[in-house]
Parts: sequence; C-alpha cells; structure tokens
Amino acid sequence: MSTHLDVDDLALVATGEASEVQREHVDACAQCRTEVGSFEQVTELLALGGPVSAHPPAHVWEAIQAEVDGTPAPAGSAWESRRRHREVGRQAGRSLGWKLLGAAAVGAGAMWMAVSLGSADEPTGPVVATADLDALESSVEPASAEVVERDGRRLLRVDTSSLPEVQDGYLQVWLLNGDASGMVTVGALSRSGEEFELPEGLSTNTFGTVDVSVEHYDGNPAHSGESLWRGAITST
Amino acid sequence: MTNRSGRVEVDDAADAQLGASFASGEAAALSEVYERWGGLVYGLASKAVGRSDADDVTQQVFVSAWQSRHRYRPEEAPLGAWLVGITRHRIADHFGRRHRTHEVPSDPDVLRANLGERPATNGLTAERVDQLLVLWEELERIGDPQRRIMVLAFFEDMTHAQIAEELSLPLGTVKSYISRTLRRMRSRLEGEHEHAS
Repeated sequence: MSTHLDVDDLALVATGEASEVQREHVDACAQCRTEVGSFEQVTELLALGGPVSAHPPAHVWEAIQAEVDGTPAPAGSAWESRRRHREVGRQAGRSLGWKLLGAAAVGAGAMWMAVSLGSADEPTGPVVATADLDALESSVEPASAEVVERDGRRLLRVDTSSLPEVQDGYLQVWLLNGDASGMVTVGALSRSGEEFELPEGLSTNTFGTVDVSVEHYDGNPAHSGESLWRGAITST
Repeated sequence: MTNRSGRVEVDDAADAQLGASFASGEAAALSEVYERWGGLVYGLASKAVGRSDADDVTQQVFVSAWQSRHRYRPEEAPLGAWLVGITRHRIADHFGRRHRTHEVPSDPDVLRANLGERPATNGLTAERVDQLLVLWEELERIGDPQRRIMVLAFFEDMTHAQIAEELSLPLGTVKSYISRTLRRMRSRLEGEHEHAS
C-alpha cells in the first residue's frame, strides 16, 4: 500500500480534485478516509451555505438610523415599520447606500453600477442622448429620459409626470442590451427628474434601452419582469 | 454581461481603513459599514432565520455593532469578520428565543416568507447554521485572494485550474490556498465543537 497522503492533499481530495493515485489510496486506507471525511464536513457545509448576499429592504437602514440617533424607530420592530413603508416610491431612494450594496453581493446576478445623485437642482449639462419611454402599464403616463454630460460625467435623467404608488416595493431603473439578454441596474427611482451617474465604461450603444420596473423587497436582484416604462436611447 | 464570478473586487486596504474609522466612532462610518456589509449580514440572516426575521436580526447586528464599536480591535480581526461574529450571536439568540417560546408566526405573509426561505437552508439545524456562520466569519477573516478563491471554488463551482486562470495565479498557489483555508476552517469547526461540548 502506498504511503499516507499529507494533510494538504487530503484537503484537496475533499474538494473532488485529486489524482487517480491519491483517490485509490484513500479508498483503500481507513485512516486517510477519516481525514478526508473531516474535510468533507467543511466542504459540504460551504456547499450548503452557498452565496449569501442579499439586498436588505430600505426600512432596515431607517430603523438602524433611528435607533442609533436615539430616536425610536417609527413603529418599534422592523417588521412593523415595513408595513408603514408600503407606499414606497419616495422612501426607497433616501438612503444612498442601497445602490452600492448589490456590488458587494457575492453571486448577485447583476451589479449595481450607478449612484443616485438625487434630483438635480444643479444646472444640467448638454443633452447627448434622449429616450421616449413608452408606458407599458395603463396605470402610468408615457415618460422620457435623457443622458446629459456634466463635468465629464454622464448622467441619466428620468422624467415622469408622476410615479405610481408601489405596494411593498420600489421602482428600479435598468439599462438593457438589444435582446434584453444582458442588463445593468442603474438605481432606484424615487422621484421624477431623478439623475443617475453612469459608469465610464458603460456603453449606451450596447445597453441602449432604458427600462423602469417594479421590484419587490424579496432580496432577489434579478429583474422582476414587471416593467412600467421602456424606450430606446437615441443620440442627439 | 459576464459576471460569472459575481465579480466584486474586495479591497482589503479600503476595508481596513473603514474598520479604523468605525472603531474611532466617526459618524459617517456606520452608513459606509452598512453599505459594505449590510448585504452579507442580511443574506446570512435570511438564510439562517428566514427573510422576515432577517430584518430584525440585521437591525440588531448593526445597532449593537455601533454601540460596542469601542470594543472593536482592528488589529485583531477585519471588521467584516467581527460583524459576522455579532451576526452569529444574534442568530443564536434568535434560535434560543424561538425555542423557548415555541413561537410560530401566524401572519400569513410572514409564514410564507419564512417558508420561501426554507429550501435554501435545507432544513439546517440551529447547530449547522452556527457552523456555517463560523465558516463565513473565517472567510471574512482570511482576506483576498484566499477569500476570492474559496468563493470561486465553492460557490461558483470553478475547478482549481479555472480559478488559476481567472485570477492569474499559479495552479499550485491556488491549491495551497484552498487546502490551507480548509485546514483553518476544519480547526475552527473542531474548536467550536469542543467548546460547545
């Protein structure tokens, strides 16, 4: 019988990557098999755990903030405050951090790539592209979007006549590619005329369609499929 | 968009700096810390206790982290690991409390949200959940590139050769990081086990 494997090799056997010779030895050697078994406890647990990052609903941060400021949270528990915040729209965009959270999410399907800059009281720059956004639901009016350049940055501005009340959710702005096989999240839309900075490397030729969807607080980073507005970006 | 590895560059230096400003109690630090680790804490809590209770657990974790920030020692552990440690304790409290009260959610929404979470945890016992949190704490502790390698190997199911190519590292280095990390994790699990018994 061949000599025992060293502990590093035993760990690698537990990952399923071992040479034929190593596997044969472990099959035949009770002592090494026990060792591999102890590593498999770790690998199986990791496999069970899987990627874990999720996007917490906005009211969690609001409750934290309220508590550390010494002011009691709106309704005591997080669950209660969630109900209070059902008419979202305006609440969702308040904490800037959200848009970045997804980027820290290991295994999230899409990355959050832009930071909402809030509604612009700043002067707008030249408009480099525009999009007419068709209303895909009868509850909303057609809207528009434009890309403006300011201080070397590109800002996507979404203008709507009004925002619908969203039950237990919020509005999410996306850029889609031609066949919608790829998409990038731009940010949560909380008021009309809101602006989002587009990352430098993001091409509006490739991702040439603006889409606004209703998303729910289900921690699922993927597009819900419930779009309210959509329209192609055209350079001016 | 290629995002096969859930591509997130974790910047250890930036994390360390954030840890230091958090420890010194800078007011803006909490929201930055939340931006950086809120998703992880919430994700872990969702997996452990279901999504509806994850809200409360996440809130408790960040509030108690802030309140005990003077106890955080940047030189002892990265902030992410410290936060996962707090998460682990809050989740253990949660299980303990539920066990004592035999609390069953009666609100249909809550019930459904919890049920929806079950397949992910696969009926993990409180003890397994605790072990899982120990491993995550370790993942946050080891930093990159080890952390990244483990994520690719175990969550993205990449082979060691694919990881080596992805990260432009020699295959032997990838293998030795993986085996070393597994050894660390195994001793942590054994340590916790002895501790508990």
